[in-house]
Amino acid sequence: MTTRAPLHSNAARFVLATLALLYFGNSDASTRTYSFGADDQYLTRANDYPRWAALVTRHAAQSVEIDACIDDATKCPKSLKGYREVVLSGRDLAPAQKVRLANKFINTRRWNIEPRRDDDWRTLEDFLKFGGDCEDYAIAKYFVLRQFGFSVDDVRVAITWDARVQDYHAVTVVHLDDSVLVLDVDGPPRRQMADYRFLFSINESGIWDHKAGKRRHSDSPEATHRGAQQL
Amino acid sequence: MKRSILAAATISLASMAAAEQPVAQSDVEARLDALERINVTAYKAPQADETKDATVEAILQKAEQAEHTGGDAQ
Repeated sequence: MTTRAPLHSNAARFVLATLALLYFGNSDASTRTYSFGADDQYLTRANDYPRWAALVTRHAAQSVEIDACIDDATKCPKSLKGYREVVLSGRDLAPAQKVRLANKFINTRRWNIEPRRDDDWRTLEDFLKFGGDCEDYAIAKYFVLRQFGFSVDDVRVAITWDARVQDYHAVTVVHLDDSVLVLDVDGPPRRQMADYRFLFSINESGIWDHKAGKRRHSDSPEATHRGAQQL
Repeated sequence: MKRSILAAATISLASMAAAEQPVAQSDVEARLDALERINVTAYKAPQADETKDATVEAILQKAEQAEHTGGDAQ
């Protein structure tokens, strides 16, 4: 009899620890590493998010001018001339080189912090003309990679929480050769960004909530931290 | 103790099962609202990428030259 109590106690601790690990451990891990295959994190169609839908519509309208420029250099506004060279010279590169080229080309563009009230999401053409800040860099890389022929299933813009500096950030994520590359503003494509927690991501087909089913965003510290401020 | 374990297991399994359910429309709206309210700031400015790839560098150089020749198309 005296030996059974510790056994029960140990078994109970084991079960509780396993359950805690399953529940909370999964939640954290799901936002630390990015996965393109997490179907349970799919939230809704991209068109359901007006800010993104408007951006994609504007980009589609501007694509007429972009495509005309790529076809004929004399039709290029100054802001698209460099982009034309990148598209034409980069179209035959290997996918990994296309990613490096898109990342480095966009990272050399003008850093232009928008006033908070006007901090819209810029199209590729607007970004090449006026510059932008982090989400604009991420969006521009997204559209460059789409122009390079990357499938919509393999590229997304991701909103992250930087646990180190306690602030939000945006990056581009690319699915390439069974791994995920993170394209940030401050260096080459990386396979891991240890400080980032992926919150949402978006492409032309959908929106993913990386805390789906784990914790409601409206209740999360990340969402309420700066809840009164606008993008 | 058994009751506690059972309760914990039930709650956890129920939570995990709930996570598998389709997202309700009202919940979608709440999450999109949470996304809209996130303020992506500009705390991290671009820094030079020091990695060198001769092919990529050559293309970037051509792009830079193109940007500095001629004006806007009419």
